[in-house]
Amino acid sequence: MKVLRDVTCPFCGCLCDDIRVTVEDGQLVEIHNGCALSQARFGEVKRDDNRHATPVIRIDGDSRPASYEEAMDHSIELLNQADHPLLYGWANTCCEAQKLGVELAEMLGASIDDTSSICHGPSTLGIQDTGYVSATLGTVKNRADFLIYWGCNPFHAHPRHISRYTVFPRGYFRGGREERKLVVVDPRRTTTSRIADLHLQPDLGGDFEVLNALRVMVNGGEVWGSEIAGIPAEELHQMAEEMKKAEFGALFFGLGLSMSRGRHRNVEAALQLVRDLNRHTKWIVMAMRGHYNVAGFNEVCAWETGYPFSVDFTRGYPRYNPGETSAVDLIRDHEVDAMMTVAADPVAHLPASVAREIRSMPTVAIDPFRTLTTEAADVVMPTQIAGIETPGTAYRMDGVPIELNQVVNPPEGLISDREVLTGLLERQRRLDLG
Amino acid sequence: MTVSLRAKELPPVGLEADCLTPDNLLDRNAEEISRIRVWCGRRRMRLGRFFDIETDASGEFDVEISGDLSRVKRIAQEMSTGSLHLLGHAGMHLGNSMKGGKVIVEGNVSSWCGAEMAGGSIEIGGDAGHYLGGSYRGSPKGMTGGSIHLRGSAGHELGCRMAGGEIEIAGGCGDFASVHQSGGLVRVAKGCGYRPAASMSGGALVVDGPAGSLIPGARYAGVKSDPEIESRPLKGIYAEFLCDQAERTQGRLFLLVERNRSLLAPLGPLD
Amino acid sequence: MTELLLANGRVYDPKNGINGEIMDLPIRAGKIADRVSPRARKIDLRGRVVMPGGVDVHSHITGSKINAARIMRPEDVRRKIMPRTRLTRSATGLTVPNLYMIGYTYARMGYTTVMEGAVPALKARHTHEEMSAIPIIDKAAMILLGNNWLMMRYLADGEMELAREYASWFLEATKGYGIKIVNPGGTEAWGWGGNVEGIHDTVPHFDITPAEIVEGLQTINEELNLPTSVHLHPNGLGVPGNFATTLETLDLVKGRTPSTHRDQLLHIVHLQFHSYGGSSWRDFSSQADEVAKYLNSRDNITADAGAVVFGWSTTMTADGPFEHSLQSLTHNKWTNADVEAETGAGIVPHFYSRKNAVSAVQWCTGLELMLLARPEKIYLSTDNPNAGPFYRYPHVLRLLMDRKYRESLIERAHKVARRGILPSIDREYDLYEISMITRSQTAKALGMDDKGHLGEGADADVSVYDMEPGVKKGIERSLQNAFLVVKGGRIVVRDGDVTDTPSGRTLWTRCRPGKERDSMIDDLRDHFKYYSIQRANYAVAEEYVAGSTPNTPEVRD
Repeated sequence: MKVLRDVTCPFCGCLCDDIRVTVEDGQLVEIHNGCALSQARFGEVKRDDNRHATPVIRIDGDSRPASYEEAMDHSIELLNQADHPLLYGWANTCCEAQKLGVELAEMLGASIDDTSSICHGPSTLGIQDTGYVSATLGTVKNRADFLIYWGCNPFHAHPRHISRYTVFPRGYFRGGREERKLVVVDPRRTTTSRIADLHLQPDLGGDFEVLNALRVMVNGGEVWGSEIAGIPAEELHQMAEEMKKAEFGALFFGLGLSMSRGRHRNVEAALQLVRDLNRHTKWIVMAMRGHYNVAGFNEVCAWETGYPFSVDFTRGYPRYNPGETSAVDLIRDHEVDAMMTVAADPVAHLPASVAREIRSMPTVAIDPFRTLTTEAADVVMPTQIAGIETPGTAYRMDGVPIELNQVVNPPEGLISDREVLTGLLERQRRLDLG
Repeated sequence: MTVSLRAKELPPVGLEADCLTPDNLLDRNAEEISRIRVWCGRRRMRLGRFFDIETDASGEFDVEISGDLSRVKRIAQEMSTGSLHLLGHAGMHLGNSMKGGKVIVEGNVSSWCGAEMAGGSIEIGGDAGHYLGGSYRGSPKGMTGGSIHLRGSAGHELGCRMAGGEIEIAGGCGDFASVHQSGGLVRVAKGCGYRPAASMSGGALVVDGPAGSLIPGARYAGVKSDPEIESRPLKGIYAEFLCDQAERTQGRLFLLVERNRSLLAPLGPLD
Repeated sequence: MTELLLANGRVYDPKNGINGEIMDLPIRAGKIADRVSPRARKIDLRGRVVMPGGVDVHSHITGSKINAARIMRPEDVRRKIMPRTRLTRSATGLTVPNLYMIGYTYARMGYTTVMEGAVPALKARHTHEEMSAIPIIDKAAMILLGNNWLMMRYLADGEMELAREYASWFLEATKGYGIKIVNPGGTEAWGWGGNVEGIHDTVPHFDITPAEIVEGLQTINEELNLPTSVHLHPNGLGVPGNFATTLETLDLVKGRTPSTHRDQLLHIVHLQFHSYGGSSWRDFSSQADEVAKYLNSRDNITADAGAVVFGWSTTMTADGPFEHSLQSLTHNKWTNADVEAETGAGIVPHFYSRKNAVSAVQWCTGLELMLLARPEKIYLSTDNPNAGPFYRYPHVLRLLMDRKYRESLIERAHKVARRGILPSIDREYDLYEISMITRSQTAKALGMDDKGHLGEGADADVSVYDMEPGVKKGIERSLQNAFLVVKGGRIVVRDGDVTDTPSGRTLWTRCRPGKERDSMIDDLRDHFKYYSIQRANYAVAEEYVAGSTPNTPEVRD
């Protein structure tokens, strides 16, 4: 038995890198330090019912196993028949694979997008309007005396966020829970709101008003209305004053802002508020990125193309216009006629009408697991789980790049996302030259 | 001379036709025009494949296009002169970055119509999508000049980042009208959605119908009767609001009192 | 073995004293050779100017803040587009170029080596991921240490041996080339929303001053015999009257001697931003003459200009508090990225308007510095992209070489430009001096012995331009689009077009551990409780570094 220390967990944007994994003969025995989500993610390798053993090709309803070579040939043929292919997914694989994906999209003249467009894409739009006053998570641990979780429930979606980075840990300048104030802003009562010093519950969809009001108050003005989204203005005045008195404040936000009415304008209002607060004291803001490497895709896509996601290569150079070049819009508006999904499950996660469209076009699915998307695809290529069965690199929600590890042997015969994409690139290159 | 194009069957993934401007089409014969390239996804194809093309010595417009072009994007992009008439609908980005000339669309237009335009005029008979007269991602400014007239209704973020020019809408519009507007005039006849004038720092938004909400950053600045706004004389009794108090400077939001009584109730009787 | 003979070019190789001599350059196996066989491919460069490949001493091209700037500025990305070709990837970005725009554009200008100016250690992996993908050019990175908690603690406690061990471990962990200091103590103060003003102010919560940080790191740098000196971005960037702080800072190392084959023990980056007089924006002025005089008088200091180019730029620096104050002035969008226990960063787009008095003064300051200081002391840079994008280097060089052109731009600028000393400066650079400030001197200051010259054994990095000495017409265009560029013995550019895209190398410094290494590691282990990642995951594995080229300095006794 061997104990591997300081292993990186490939599940959520916390990207905890202190997991202890016990293995024997290349098989997982148990893990320590990980949260329940981490346990489940690593535990996937113990199941034998959720993976394909070989690539699969489906023609006219007939499914048959195939070699990777055949599956790659078939995939390239499928993608090249399209007028406008889309390469989607990316958030659950390593940067090295993402980079190859961008290269393939460029070569094909395809569009490429990741799951940002259904998650924190609006946050990036907000950043492009206003900028992003942020920091690495360790600065919060060391300095923050005022924490706000807005429109998110870390105890469920990022279980160790609070204990590892924000409220409970002891930092260089800050003791622990007793030296920090926690505010939760959420229309719902949640596990996280239960431990908050203050829980503000705006009316559903009223976050923009609360943020706008706080901005006006922070800047010393008077707001329109005695009640803002169901919260008495006086309460918000008090909150604004306390925010200005903080030594170091950190505002974390999630889909409650980016996916409720207003979307990128909600996020922008939060970014503007934190920017304005910096006239008075030190504040930072951070998006609670969901998948463990969705931030990584934005980094890779940005250095490769200039743009963070939703990139259209149809003219041989990158173009960017979320709302038009983003996956959901492309599919819903019938602008793409073939799709390759890597490490994501759009048939399960995108709106039903979009899922229907995906099922009606030729598709390729590259994924470690059987998903609704793989089961609907014309070509399936099963791969090794990045960060468990194959190494790589990922970016944490705060932009810190951390290595992903291989801790167990991959199932016999499976290759990695990188190897599949390398094979696809070779074929596309040959096609372009020949 | 008039260039007439009639749409044949358009491809399922749609087209991008930035070549369709008077600048590009005038002084060319039908044969030359049919060889101009349009984009069909990643493929470049000849215009003649999708349009029947004729040139005529006479005609009211320089370019006339008939057919349902709701899946054709970028018509009249960067147009600087001449006139263009679309008998049907048009796709995204119609007339974006226009500098001059006149575009008339009988049907609907999609999103980003007139985005970042600097001059010229666009008239739309039907409805518009989002970002009418708006801006592209990251740009500090949207529309800076010219005019847009819409007979139907517009979507969200009407006049986003507008810095100059005029937009007039006979119908209503969605949320965040005039977001980040810094100049120019927007008028919406039938009302608007939530959060008009958010992050507004200049210019004016006039709403002659019911507004969906007022942002907390709105500051009441009195009742104005038959005001002149951005050199335009208006008729009616309006409540004026300086928006957005969260910004360093504000623009002006005018709500027609008689259509906004419940929203303005906290102010007491105004007319 | 590939052999090349570049024949009959007019060569400017200042390190070897060659000033416009017509000569042949034999190239074999990626190096300048003494001779080649008759089988060598011969290229006739008659009538053309030949220089070593350009060596950029300070530029921000890769890593966390550069990428954050790209993400924030799609409106800049779409302003310059080069579609892909069979050979090249698509290239985008005006002031925030993507990796391919960076590699191709530098190469087309004849640059073959670029020093990345400032990397946050915690995110060094990001820098190397980007560097490994930039085509053609060789790179290296300066790693930020001037606000690093453990370093400040060691220096405050006088633990010089441990500090030295930490620095040497640090460079290997980050695969860095040298030590960078940005606003010493100030970026740490910005962790609380503050800054430092004077170099003898105490850094809040740390028992040390900016002066002590500079002195301490400079001492360690020389003791480790690192290839380049400390690169320093002094306190007070951008503030009216800051020239006094700058000179006070430079006085700190008066009389000290550098360790090795370079002259300087301190290299000041973007000196233009630190050479201001006046006391407010109203009487804001250039003090370039005094700064240049000082620089000329000091043997052990060098600098790069950070010259302003009118037009759009994107300011990006580890000087977090400066960016906040810039944002407060201009109200442009602002991104901030503090890095725990180490440093910070800020990004704000900026437009230098020739009709704006402050921009005009800044523009004059950079040019005055370059015209008044000797070419041994001040090198070309625009602090890309802070004062201007790097592809405007040819424009700046033209201003240095052509007085009439300079005068015409002074005429077009705000009248304050005519009130300073710039109009009275007649000097015009010749090609030898141009080669000094972009090749021989920069390579020397960086300690890169195989770069910046064309002597036998040098890397075969050669740039050829359609130029003639004394001919002013077309200078900018020629320097923008090299006639021929050779990188490591391979032809990469012909007639301004990229013809080959080999991968470049990354140079870094691997020091030998000293006897206090274990002791320092013990401290580090304890210190890591202030980080949010595990110590075991901190160091960048060599696999990340494409063309990894470590160099181990000889230990100084």
